[in-house]
Amino acid sequence: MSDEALLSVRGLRTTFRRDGAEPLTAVDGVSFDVRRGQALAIVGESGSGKSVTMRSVMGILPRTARITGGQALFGGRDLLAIGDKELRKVRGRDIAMVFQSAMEAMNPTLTLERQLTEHLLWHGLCTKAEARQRAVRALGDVGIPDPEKRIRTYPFQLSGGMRQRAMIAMAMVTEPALLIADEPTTAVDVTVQRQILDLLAELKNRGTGVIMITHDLGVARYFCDDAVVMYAGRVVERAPMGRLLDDPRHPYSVGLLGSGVEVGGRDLPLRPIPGSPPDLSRRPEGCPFHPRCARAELPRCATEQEILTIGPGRDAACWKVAVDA
Amino acid sequence: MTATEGVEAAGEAAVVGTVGDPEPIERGTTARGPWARAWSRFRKHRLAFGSLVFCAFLIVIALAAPLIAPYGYEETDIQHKLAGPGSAGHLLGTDLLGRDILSRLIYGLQTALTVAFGAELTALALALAIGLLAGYLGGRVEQLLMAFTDVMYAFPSYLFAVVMVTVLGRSIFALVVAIGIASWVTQARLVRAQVMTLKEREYVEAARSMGAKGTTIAIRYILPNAIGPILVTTSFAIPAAIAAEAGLALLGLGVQPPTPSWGAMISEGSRYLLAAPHMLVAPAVLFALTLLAFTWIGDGLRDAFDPSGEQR
Repeated sequence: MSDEALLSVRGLRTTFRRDGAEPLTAVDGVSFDVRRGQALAIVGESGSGKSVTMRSVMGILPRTARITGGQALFGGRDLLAIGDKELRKVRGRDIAMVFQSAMEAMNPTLTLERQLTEHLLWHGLCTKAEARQRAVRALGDVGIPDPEKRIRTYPFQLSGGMRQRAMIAMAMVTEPALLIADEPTTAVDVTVQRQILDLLAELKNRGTGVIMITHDLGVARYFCDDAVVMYAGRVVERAPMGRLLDDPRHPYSVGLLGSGVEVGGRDLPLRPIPGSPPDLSRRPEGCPFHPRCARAELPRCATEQEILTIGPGRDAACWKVAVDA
Repeated sequence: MTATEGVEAAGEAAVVGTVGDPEPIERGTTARGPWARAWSRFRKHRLAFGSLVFCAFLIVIALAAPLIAPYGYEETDIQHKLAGPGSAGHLLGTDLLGRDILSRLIYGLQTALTVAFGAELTALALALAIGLLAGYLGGRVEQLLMAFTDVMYAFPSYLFAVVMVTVLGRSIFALVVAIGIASWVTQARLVRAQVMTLKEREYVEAARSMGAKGTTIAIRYILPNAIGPILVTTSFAIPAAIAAEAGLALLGLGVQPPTPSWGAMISEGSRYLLAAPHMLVAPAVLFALTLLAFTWIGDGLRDAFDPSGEQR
């Protein structure tokens, strides 16, 4: 297992075109690394830009979006620069994605066999007969009983938990190096949640790099090694998972932990962060969190935001953390 | 079968519908695709299913017209002009020239169905091509295609038909083109609207994330999921096309006589309403029944593809 980053994103910036208005910056200078066999949690509220970040890297943004800066190095190539045709060969083969709801993410008109083998064939990874075998094996691997029989069914014929696992099998059948899971447990029951997380943890142990997009620190805690906290399109804190939970530094991270019902087995008093995330078209100047921040000090917080390194693999976008230290 | 196998089988049967099984085999394990489910719902719709049988019967008659029709459509029986139904070997009587009405109805059915299916297949092909392209590609292509569609939409369709028939002559081909072009517009708009909703669906994004090409997504992921509503409108468009053909015939723009057309027969019959009511009644009744049957099929299809019935 090498320490070298599997995917290394630097200064990513994505904007959305709007009719009759300035483009909207949804992702603003985001950087992070994922290593082989490691899991990174990208944590943030809805609208914080976490999904747009990963869709930018995958090149599956909506038509109105444009990547205006940054790099995403993967296997020695910049995914943001290689063009859609080359990127399409990477998608599904080297980097795969798992979505929030398998019900939504699987084509209701295709059998599992079709959905699990098609991309193997698109990428020319094997013959049709081999593809079927690999698909059956992948279904078995995610714990679907009787995969030989199940492969002939349609998604709606499976229970919610099985469907979610089938979707993971769909992503894993090509044996990608990196798996991006976008809120994979949000739409499922608690019992199923646990199964899904165990499954992802097992993949990680086999050497797959995992990026988990989530708003739930409790889920991230379960198996992520590192965490990136996003707010209003920017990274506000980057830290090893355990450190973030024990000792969050950025006031937003502190607030996020305080608003979780139960994190790390400790019962913290529930303190919601006052206010609501900013409308990205009216992002506050300086640190975007300062209008909601209890520790904000004007005018400095409203004019600048600097990223401070506060330890190994740790930094926070708040000048106050330097004062704390 | 051994005793244990029997017990297992019984146990399995009992499991269906029980609560508490963590991974129930939902809705059986047989691969019943969306099409099979739509079909089974359609079959439960008695009126629609009956109509389908009736229309299938009509299609068979139209195809086998020369074998079934007792006379040729031009054949005149000069001795028995305007004969009443059942007289002189003419089941539905004869018309002004002594032509057998039943035979003319059967050949007229051929005309009606050829025009209707031809026109609607043309319309469907055009609508699918333009709607898919516009909806999927978006941007400039969409603006251009939809502007074209809007222009066509604003064009009065009967006027267009008159122009087509004038240019191409009074032939079945001209009618297919005229009616087809008049009805593709609404279809294209529907296809585009469907595509626009479907392309935002997560499984389309998932397909992109797996490396699918644009054409693959359009054909394998969007089209099959859009086909239900499109099929429904097409099935409603067929009776409309039959009526359009009859309407044009009434205006004297139908197929060239003596090729029989229901519209022309109704128009002729209405002129001799008092003297020979059978000339009007027979084609009018058959015309109405056919339109009803096709419309009921559409009703059944709509219910069969109704997304609210999807979850059962």
